[in-house]
Amino acid sequence: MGHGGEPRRAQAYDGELGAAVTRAQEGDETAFAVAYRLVQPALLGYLRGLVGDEAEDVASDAWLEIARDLGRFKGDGAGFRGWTATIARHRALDHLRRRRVRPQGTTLEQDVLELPGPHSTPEQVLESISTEHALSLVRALPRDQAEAVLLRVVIGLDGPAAARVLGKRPGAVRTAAHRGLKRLAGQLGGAGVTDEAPRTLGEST
Amino acid sequence: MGELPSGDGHTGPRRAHPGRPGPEPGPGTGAGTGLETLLAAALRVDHVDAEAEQRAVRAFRAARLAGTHREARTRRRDDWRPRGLRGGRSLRTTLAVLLAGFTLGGVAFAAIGGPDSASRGAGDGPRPAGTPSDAGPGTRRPGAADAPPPAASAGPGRPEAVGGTVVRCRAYVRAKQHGEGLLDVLRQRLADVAGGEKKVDGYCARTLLKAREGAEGGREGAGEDTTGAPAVPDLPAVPTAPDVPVPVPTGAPADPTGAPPLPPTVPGEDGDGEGSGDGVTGNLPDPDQGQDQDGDQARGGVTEDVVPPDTAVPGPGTGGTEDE
Repeated sequence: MGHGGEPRRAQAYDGELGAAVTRAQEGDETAFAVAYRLVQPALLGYLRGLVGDEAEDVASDAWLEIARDLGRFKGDGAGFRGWTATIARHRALDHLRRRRVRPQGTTLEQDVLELPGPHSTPEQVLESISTEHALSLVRALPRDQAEAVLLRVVIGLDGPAAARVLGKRPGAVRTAAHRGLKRLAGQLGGAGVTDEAPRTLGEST
Repeated sequence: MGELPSGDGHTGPRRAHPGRPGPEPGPGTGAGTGLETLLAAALRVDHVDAEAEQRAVRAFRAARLAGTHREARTRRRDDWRPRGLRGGRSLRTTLAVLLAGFTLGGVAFAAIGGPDSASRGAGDGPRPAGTPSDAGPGTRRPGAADAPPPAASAGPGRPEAVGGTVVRCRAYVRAKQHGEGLLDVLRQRLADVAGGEKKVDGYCARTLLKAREGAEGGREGAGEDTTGAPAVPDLPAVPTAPDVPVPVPTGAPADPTGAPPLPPTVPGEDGDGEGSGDGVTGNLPDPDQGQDQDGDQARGGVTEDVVPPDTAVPGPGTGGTEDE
């Protein structure tokens, strides 16, 4: 696992995103739409990991705040991803507090767990993971691991950025992500995961 | 790929496509990348809800109209500029730099041998062996902490505090006890003086004993027993005074190559007064020390081999140190 350093922050479309955000801040509505489309898939995925089915509602709240506070933001494309993730997370936590719902455990999860897992076909190389399956596994992780994994994998944040979103030390977040991924790898079946063996996930940075 | 229905599990491959608007988990992260890619592909929502997008755009318009964007003040939480602009050095980097600085300072301190030997002009400075060459941070580091304390402790009460070999011997013994990394370095350095690595233990035993005795003002350290002690394996006191004063070969001021032969006895003159004084202070023994064995030339005994003249030997009877 990388050191969570700079190389991870740069995603393929970050340049485009940064430019769109800048133009949107100057009033360009189309640019704002571009930014929305670039950010929303990951944001929604992240929120589904946090709150499950109510992700869309929470995302709507988040975008209202993002749109309103857009002028305050300073940073590049990667920074925008971190900024929006922070806003989304706050909205999610508010939502959870209001609903007094625990962040993990839904009926969806229960159903999925009854399905045969990939390890029932050991020879099959796992080429994909179903969304339901992935979601249920992630949401079953301890909260800190789930969040660390989601920010890293779905939002694509590096160590320092994820730590900032979560308000924790980078080392703790790195450890949580490691453990979460290791557990997921084990649950998805050692032989089934392409490329990597779970053991390598145990490396510390 | 963007048209896939949302959230459904697909059995077909759903790896992230380059054109897909979605961040990849991170290139070159090594372990776990495959898993991360799979998870990302599974968890990100492919489709974009047009209605949701419109809601967001409307909110954007409203804020723009209200001038909110123009007047917006960036709070700390809103500043996500890359670290180089904001941060500068991390705390870890600062601490690492400080630690390196202290380490090097400790090395320098050890090389000088501490205030005592420095004041005595102890001859570690111009030592040809090249202290700097020893001062590799890797090996020195564990010892750096050790060297100053011995020097310091040698200072107050110790009359001779030679800071050179005595300190080194002390550190060597300590290093042996604790198995520290500096052991090898010390052993090599002392081997020059002791005449071989195997002889270092005995040499140190005698040296330190002499130092101790010297502190008590024993002049008679001056070599009674030549038989004594080369065999002394370890420091704890060897009764037979292992003073084997090595008399300087007459005439030749302890030429580096010439090993002063083991003297049958010679205690006779102690030229410790002056001789030792010189011996200790100067790296090169003076010519007039011809006779004087104990003081400076006493390299702790059995030096059959090369005896670097500049080893500030802690004179056996330590007479020297006191005198200075």
